[in-house]
Amino acid sequence: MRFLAVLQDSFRETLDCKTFWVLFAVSSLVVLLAFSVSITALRPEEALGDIARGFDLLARGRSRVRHDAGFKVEGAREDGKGGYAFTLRAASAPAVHRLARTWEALAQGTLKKAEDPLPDPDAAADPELVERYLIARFRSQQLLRVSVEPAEAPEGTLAWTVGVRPERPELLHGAHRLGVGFGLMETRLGTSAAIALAGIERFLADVLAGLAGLLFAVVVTASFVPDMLQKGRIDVLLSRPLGRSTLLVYKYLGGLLYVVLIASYLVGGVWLGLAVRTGIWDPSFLLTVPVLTLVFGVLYAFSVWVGVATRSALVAILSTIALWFSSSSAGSFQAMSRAGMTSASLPELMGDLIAALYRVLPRTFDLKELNNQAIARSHLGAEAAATLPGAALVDPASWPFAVGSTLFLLAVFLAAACVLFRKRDY
Amino acid sequence: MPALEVRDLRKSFGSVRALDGVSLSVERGEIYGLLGRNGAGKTTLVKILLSIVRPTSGEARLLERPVSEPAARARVGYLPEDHRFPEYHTAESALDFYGALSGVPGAERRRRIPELLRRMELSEAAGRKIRTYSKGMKQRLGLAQAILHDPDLVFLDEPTDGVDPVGRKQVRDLLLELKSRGKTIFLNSHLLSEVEQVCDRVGIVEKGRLVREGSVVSLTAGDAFEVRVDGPLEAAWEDLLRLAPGAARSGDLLEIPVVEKTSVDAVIDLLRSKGLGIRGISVKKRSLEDIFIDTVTEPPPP
Repeated sequence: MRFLAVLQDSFRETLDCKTFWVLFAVSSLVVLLAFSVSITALRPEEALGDIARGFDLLARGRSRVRHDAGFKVEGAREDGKGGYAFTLRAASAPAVHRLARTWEALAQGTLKKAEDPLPDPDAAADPELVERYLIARFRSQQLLRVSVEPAEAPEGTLAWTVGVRPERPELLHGAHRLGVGFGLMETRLGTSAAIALAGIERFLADVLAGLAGLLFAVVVTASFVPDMLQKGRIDVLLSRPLGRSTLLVYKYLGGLLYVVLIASYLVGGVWLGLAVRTGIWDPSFLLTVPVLTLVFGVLYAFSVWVGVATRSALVAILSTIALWFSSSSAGSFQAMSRAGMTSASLPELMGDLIAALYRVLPRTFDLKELNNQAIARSHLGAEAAATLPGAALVDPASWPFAVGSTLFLLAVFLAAACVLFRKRDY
Repeated sequence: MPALEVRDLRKSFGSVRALDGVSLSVERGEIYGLLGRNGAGKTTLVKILLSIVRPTSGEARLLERPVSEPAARARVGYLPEDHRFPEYHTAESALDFYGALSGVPGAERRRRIPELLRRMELSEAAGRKIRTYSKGMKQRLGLAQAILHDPDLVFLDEPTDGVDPVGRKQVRDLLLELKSRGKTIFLNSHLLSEVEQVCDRVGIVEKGRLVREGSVVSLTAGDAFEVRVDGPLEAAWEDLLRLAPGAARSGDLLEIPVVEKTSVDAVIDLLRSKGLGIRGISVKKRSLEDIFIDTVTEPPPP
């Protein structure tokens, strides 16, 4: 009964925080977005058409210009050597000329910005320049061995016979179109649906829930204990027939529950949305909930300790963020060091110091990477997942140690907070 | 068995001695008032009894259990001075929370809370967040949470702070009602007139020591009589001084220090024999405020 009362009290306190509602609104938006996602398979002709339609736009840095050339792909067929042959048509020859001339002027530096006017805007471009432009644009899309030859076209339009070979087969064969907002925004993915889904889920687990979400949670919950310790408020609580450690642990669990609820809502909602929309019911993304809870659990235990020691929410927030940053940085450095990705010029003492920090701090980086790996392995299989960037940063076999050492530190922080709380006069 | 017992309790905050060997005992069903100047150690004593502050040395028991045991507080209610309830609560939810922490079952809370809110005149504001309450309303809510679980022993630290005169009367009535139901009340207050009206016994703390203690009746008991006389006193004055050497007069008012009760009878007989009429006789009582001021301004014992 007392435990439930403290949980309910923490829940009320959470609902009273504006930050919670911001987080809830953002989470709801993300869940809604997940329900609006579509990943549809593209035929090679559609994939090539998507690529060619992008040739209308020229960009340099932040400057960009569009000339509607109306590029269209027709009659795409496999060439028997892993590539494709097709006819590329442009509905507006003048637009193609302007695009080719702008591209060349930008390359030569005679134009600073893409939207700057050409010296003679209506002048025709050399056919070779147009071909070079098209080859460059196909190559920029990882389509290699490009051949472009002029073909017959009606007056005012242009056409070419094109041959391309993709760097990876799935760039064209097995490509997908990702739609967001029920088709309001669409982009072509040169990947399988599983890779796309794993990418989306990893982004959510890593950046949205794992960084922004946790940061919000740390800020919201950091004031729970210092507020409880305010003169006049703690007196009423301590006069109840409840041990101090029990009270503090209940309060801690109340804060933790808040994160379990919001993480379950965000991760579960996104997972359900993506599964419903794509038909891929892979549960690996749901592992993010216990991983986030564990990472938050250790950070919150530290925050509670600092809160009891200083009675200041601000100090608790800053210290917890410092711990999180230190543990993530040390973990990241250690992982890169193991993968031979660190700079040789780093002083040895600094390297030893970071390694020592890695040993004593919570394994927040490892847990994040292990979760990412689990998502990728489940979607793509162990072999394909191992080829992804950063796949070798953390050993998949280190799950038990990462979880165990983090749980141990969580218990240490919480025990330290309880000891301090029991000793203090209020 | 006493409801509360303290033996040689000491508490130091660094070099400051907040309590310096306090011993006292409060019987069940008694209203005990603890008086003292600001910083005398009253609140520290209460906080030690409720385990909010740890004693440096000494022994304290509540309802026969050492105060260090959480179970000692199961039948105890407390209204702290300057209490602050979480402002995200309503009166109703706050009482439900504190009731649950005190171990009151859900059904009992659902029955008791509306009843208490009505009693404290908070029914209309019961669903409003506490942040919208006036000081008096918060004080009434504080009292409600202190007695919600029907405790046997209630500590009240300045219970009428911020309460208007009508509210004070209601608080006094509440305390007397609790006493009539056999509850023990330990009261810290600066309002000595109120303490005098409700307390059975009082203790005065000065510089961490219990310097005076006794029943309100015995402490304020008169040590003189006042006699109103009809007629000139001059004829009887010399004889009066022989009978009651400390007697004093002011107009028709005669003040006679009580050495022995019989001296009053003798004085009355003398006055009547001199043909003087007696218009009234009353015992001259001392107020608790006089006692308090005399006590705390006395030079400390060597």
